[in-house]
Parts: sequence; structure tokens; C-alpha cells
Amino acid sequence: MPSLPASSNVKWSRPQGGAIPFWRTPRLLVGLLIALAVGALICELIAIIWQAADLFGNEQTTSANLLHLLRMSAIQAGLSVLLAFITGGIVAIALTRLSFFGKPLALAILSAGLVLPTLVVAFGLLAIWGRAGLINDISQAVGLGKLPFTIFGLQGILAAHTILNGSFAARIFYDRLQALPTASLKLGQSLGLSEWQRIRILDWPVIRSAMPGLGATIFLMCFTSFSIVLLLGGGPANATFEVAIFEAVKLDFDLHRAAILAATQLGFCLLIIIPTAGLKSSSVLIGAQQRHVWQATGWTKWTVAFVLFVLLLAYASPLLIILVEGFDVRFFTLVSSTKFINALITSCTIALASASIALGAAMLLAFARAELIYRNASKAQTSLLRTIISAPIFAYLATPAIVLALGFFLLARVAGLDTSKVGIYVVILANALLALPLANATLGPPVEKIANKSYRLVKSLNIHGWRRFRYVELPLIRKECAYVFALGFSYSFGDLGVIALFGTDEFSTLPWMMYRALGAYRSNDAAMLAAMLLIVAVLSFYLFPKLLGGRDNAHAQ
Amino acid sequence: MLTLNNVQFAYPKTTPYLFNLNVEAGEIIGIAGKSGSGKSTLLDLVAGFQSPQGGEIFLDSQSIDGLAPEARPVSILFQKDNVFAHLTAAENVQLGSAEDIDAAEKLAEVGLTGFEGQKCASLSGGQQQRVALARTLARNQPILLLDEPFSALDGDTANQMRDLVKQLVIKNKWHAILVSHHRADFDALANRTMQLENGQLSELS
Ligand SMILES: Nc1ncnc2c1ncn2[C@@H]1O[C@H](COP(=O)(O)OP(=O)(O)O)[C@@H](O)[C@H]1O
Ligand SMILES: [Mg+2]
Repeated sequence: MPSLPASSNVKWSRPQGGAIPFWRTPRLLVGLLIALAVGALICELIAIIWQAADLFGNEQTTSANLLHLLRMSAIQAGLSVLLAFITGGIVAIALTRLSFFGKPLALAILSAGLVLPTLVVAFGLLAIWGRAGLINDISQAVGLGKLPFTIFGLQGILAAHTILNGSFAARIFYDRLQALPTASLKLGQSLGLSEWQRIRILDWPVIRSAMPGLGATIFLMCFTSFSIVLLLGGGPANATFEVAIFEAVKLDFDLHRAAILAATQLGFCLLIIIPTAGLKSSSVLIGAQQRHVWQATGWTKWTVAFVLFVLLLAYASPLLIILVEGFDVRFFTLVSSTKFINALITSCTIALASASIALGAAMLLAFARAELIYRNASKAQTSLLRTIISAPIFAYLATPAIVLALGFFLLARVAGLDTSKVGIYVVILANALLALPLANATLGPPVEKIANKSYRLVKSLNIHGWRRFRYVELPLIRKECAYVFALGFSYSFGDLGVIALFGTDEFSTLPWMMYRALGAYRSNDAAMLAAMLLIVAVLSFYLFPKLLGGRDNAHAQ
Repeated sequence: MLTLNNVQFAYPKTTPYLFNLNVEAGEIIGIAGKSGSGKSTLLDLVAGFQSPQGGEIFLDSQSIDGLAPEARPVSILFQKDNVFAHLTAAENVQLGSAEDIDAAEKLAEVGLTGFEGQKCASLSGGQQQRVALARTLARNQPILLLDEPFSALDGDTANQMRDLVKQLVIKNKWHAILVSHHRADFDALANRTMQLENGQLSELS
């Protein structure tokens, strides 16, 4: 039997934890550089906000003021989490009890919750519950008069947040429940567990384990909510920091106050996010499909179906009404106006550019971390380098869009640049950075899984660099890449937070145009723009996976 | 006697299955076959998770086809996940039994004296399988379906478990079907072994 060539022996016997020659690992180098650049940028932005806030020099903004904002935002976010958990939990549990025609569609709608332009949801709620909304019209038509409550205020914010985050929570809970072992489900069914026992023994432990990470995420999203509070808040009583910052910049042009608010909020967000760093991230990708469905029977089935129908309708109705109201005869007048076309082009440019940046950066970062596996780095090295690569991205999770935008705004002014000229670059970059944490969380695990599975083979066949990417990695992560791109695209396409500080008459995107239309009481235009935003968001999740995703089951493991 | 009489079944767009099988009381029938050959599907049909598209399943000449899974005279043991980890051993044993049963006694019968109050999460894989076995004792259903229940156990533990199962099947006159792809399981336990291939069962050796 011929012996192995000596050279391959040498490679195999590299002692675990040998030093990595950095100059020979371009992937690692590139990843580190990106991480450092991204990290340096956030530090610079925070520093500039901090400076502008001049926390100790000036006492214009009283701490009582800040405390009030903090308290109201926290209460609002806490209630939002609670409502999202309750409705999301019920929907998820109900979904596991039924299999019906259109279930994939229902699941797709739930996934959309995370990526729907918040502006659209807020507008949809207005169209249903607002003063001139559907319910009021019906109520008056049947002689009941005006509704005794208004959608403006805490209730409106909570409703919108529940729609967005309840559907998101439902999706996460459902995915986790799908991961229950088939054996457990079959056993439970065979042992004849009651519906109540099933919830207590099977579902609840799963749902509870998903709660901390998910809860922190939802809390942050609601705590830093902007468009919804801007549209539905109904005044300063329910303002979040975002809205207060926006008003300070845009209405009062009080950059100092804006900076104080931003600094406070950033601190608070970090407080929330750091303890949750160790919690498992809640991946939103479609999990492994599970074969066994333990269906409800008898009257339970009908109850479950009814509850599910009502909740899904509540989630979906604001979107449906936008589609109904968004298209009337004036649609063509609007879409053929120069203003619209310019805004559309700007929006598309921004979305394509920032999605590409987010995807590219996330891939390079994931490859850099995977390189540690391919290079057989030692434990200490791995944990150090992983932290260096991942930590800066993490910082953006704690940075709300407006705060980031404010940082750039201040930076541009300090650098003597015309904010209206650099607007487009800032919006592209800021949106890419804001999408980066999610992109990173989506791409990281599969790339590392591939590395762990294939590194022996890759080494023994000596597949490196481009060839490894082309033949080993890319085919297996195309689907995730497409998803990340769609995510980045629809995220920046629907952004209002960043554009809010930079938008003008000339530099306008569709969300910005819609916001302005609302402010000018042109609600027909707003409805049409909302419909456009909604359609583009949905389309991007349909189109990009088709265009980029390759065959569906590229990695059917 | 447990009888599968021309039981037909097919998943959408796959080769159809046709099962004929007899299992006497106190007997263990081994089912060998490659992974994906349909062994678990066969057990699913008996347990009621899938409904036959033709043919019938009898226990002592009574059809069990119309029964929901929870109403079937069946106990199942899978490769793993046979217990609910955050319940105690005793709670696991009591699940699925109508009347109050003495969990401690059943646990003692499988060699787990004094384990009643332990959370199953803290038990070893082998101990968890025994807890599940104690539950089948408590329920004492005439049909026992074994889907590779020894595959996740190491050598000695697996051997002890095999002996225990054999002993209990004979003593309680259960009708047992054992699915596995380890010859050792059949050698140690099975009265007869059938091969599942191309959707059909045939006598092995
Ligand atoms: N619910 C299902 N729907 C469609 N195909 C299934 C389903 N369950 C199993 N299969 C397929 O049927 C075949 C037999 O599966 P299974 O009975 O689990 O095989 P085994 O237990 O022998 O490994 C496999 O090819 C499997 O992919
Ligand atoms: Mg199987």
C-alpha cells in the first residue's frame, strides 16, 4: 500500500492551536479590517455626539425631562413586548395545531412583520381606525356615530407594535416549536395528552426559552420606534427618544438637545443589549421542515382555527386596506410625476447600494470567522479574534437609526460638508450598517457550519481561496445570501429614520415623500405611496431569492 | 395476534408500501431495512399517525384502523426523546395512564428504585429509556412498537436494555415490532426478522 505523500502528512499533523500566519490569511485580514473600520466609525460617531451633548456644560435639558421620556418609552416598549408575546404565542401554538391550505402563505405573512416598512403599518392602522378610517365610516353608516376613542396615542402605538412584533414573535415561536423532536410529538399524541398538558409540557418550555432574547430584541425595537410614534403618537406625551431627536433637529434645530437625547438613549440601549449578548440570537430563517403534525381534532380544532383567523386578520387588515385604498385613478398621475420618479430612483439606488454593502460586509466577516476554523486556530486566538470581528457589529444593534443619522449629521457639519450633498451617501451607509447585525446573524452560523463540516475535506483536497468560495461555500449559502440581500433592500427601501434628518425637497425617497404627503394632509398620495412601499417590500422577498438564490434545496441537509 | 393484512400506503410521489405481517402475543418481530426504506412508516401505520390507504390492521381479529392514536392499544419507544425532560421520572411514568398507578413500583421493575422525584433531564440516556419502559409497563398496552430504541445507547447499557425488553414482552404477552439496522438487536431479541425492501416485507434468512 503506497504511503501518503509527506507533504499532506505535514498538513494533517499541524498541532492544534498553532500560530496563524496572518499575512497568509487574506480572508482574516479583510474581515479584521472591516470590523475595525466599522468599529472606528461608530466610536467616532458616538464621540461626536458626546461632544455635542456637552453633558456637563449646559443644563438646558432638565433631567426630569429625560426621565419622563425614558419612563414613557420604557412603559410603551414593555407593554409592546407583552402584547407581542401574547398574540404571537397564541398564533404560533394555533399554527402547530392545524395544517391547512395556505399555511405557507400565512407563515410568509408572519415573516414579513420584521421587514415591513413601519410607516406602512402605521398608515394602515390609520386607514382602519383613524378618524376617516374604515371602522368610523361603517359605524356612521349604520348610525352608531363616531368611535368613542382615537387611534392617536399609546393605544395606536401599541396596536402597530403588536402587529409588527406579534407576527415576528409568532414566526420565531413557531420555528422553535417546529424544532420539537418528532418523537416527543408522536409520544404526546399516542399518550393522549390533553390540549392543556400539551401546552404545559411541550409548548411552554420551548416558548419560554425563546422569550429572553426575543423580548430584548422587541423591547429595543419598540423603545427606539420612530415612524410609528411619529405618525400615531399624537403628541409629546408618548414620544420616544427618536421622535424627540427628530423634532429637536428638524423643528427647533437644537443640535445640542438632540445630542443629549441621543447620548442618553444610546446609553440606555447599551444597558439593555449588553446583558443579552450571551443569549442565543433568534434566527428568522425557515428551519428544517418537520414531518409530523399533531393536529387538533373536534371542537378544539374549530376554536383554534377561529382564534387564528381573527388574529391573522388583525395582523393583516392594515396591509390589506392599503392595497385597497392605494390604487385609484389618481395613481397614474402620481407615478408619472417627476417628483415621484426621482424619489423612486433615489430609493432604488439607496436600497440596492446599501443591501450590497450589507451583504458584502456580512459575507466577508463570516468568512473571516470561518477562516479561524479552517486555520485550526487555538481556543484563545479564536475567542479573541472572534470578539474583535463581531463586537463592532454588535454596537450597531444598540444604535437606533436616528442616533446614527444624527452622528453622521454632526460629523458632516464638523467636516464642513453640505448635509444635503452628502445625504445620499450617508443614507446608504447608515442603512447598510443598521442591517449589518441581522445580516451577520443570518450568514454567520451557516458559514461556520460549512467550515466545521468540510474543513478536513477542504484541506485534504487543498481547495483554497476563490475555489473554496466558488465550489464549497457559495453553493451552500446562496439562499441565505439572497435572504440577506432582500432584507437589506427592503429595510433601506422603507427607511424613514435616517432620511428624516437628511431629506429635503430635492433629496427625497418614497418614505420621505409619503411622510411629507401625510404632513400636508394629502392622504390619497400617502395611501398610494404606502401601497408602493408595501408591494416593493413583498416583491423583494419574492424576487431576490429567485434571482440570487439558486435552486431551493441547495443545502438539503 | 397483531395482523397487518395487505396494508397499503404511499406518501405523495413515492413508491407505495404493501405490508403483510403477523405478530403473536409475547413475540418480537424484527424489521430490518436500509434507512429510508419505510420502517418508521410501518410503525406510524400501526400507531395511527398515518392511515392505511387500503387493507386492515387487526388486534385479535378486531380492527384498530378507525381508532385515533391516543385510543390505540399501543406503546412506543423511540431512539431518543422518549421522556419529557423537565418532568420527573414519576410524572413521566404516569403520563397516559387513566387510573392512578404506582410509579415507584414500575420504576423499580426497570431497575430505577428511588428515582421517582428526579427530573428526567438529569438522567442518563439509558436511564431515560428505562423510564420510558416503565411507562409502557404502567400503560400495559398489548402492542409495543420499538423504533431503534437501543441505537443511542452504549454497549453494556444497550445489552441490559435488550434483556429487560425481552423479559417484559414475554411476561406481559405484548406484541412487539422492533425496527433496527443493527443485527445484534435481532440476534438478541427477535423471534423472527423480516426485511423491508422496495416497499414490501420478506422473511429474512
Ligand atoms: N411525512 C412524510 N411525507 C413524505 N415523505 C415521507 C414522510 N415521512 C417519511 N417520508 C419518506 O418516506 C421514506 C421512508 O421513511 P421512514 O419510514 O422514516 O424510513 P426509515 O424509518 O426506514 O428510515 C423516506 O424516503 C422518507 O423521506
Ligand atoms: Mg426511521
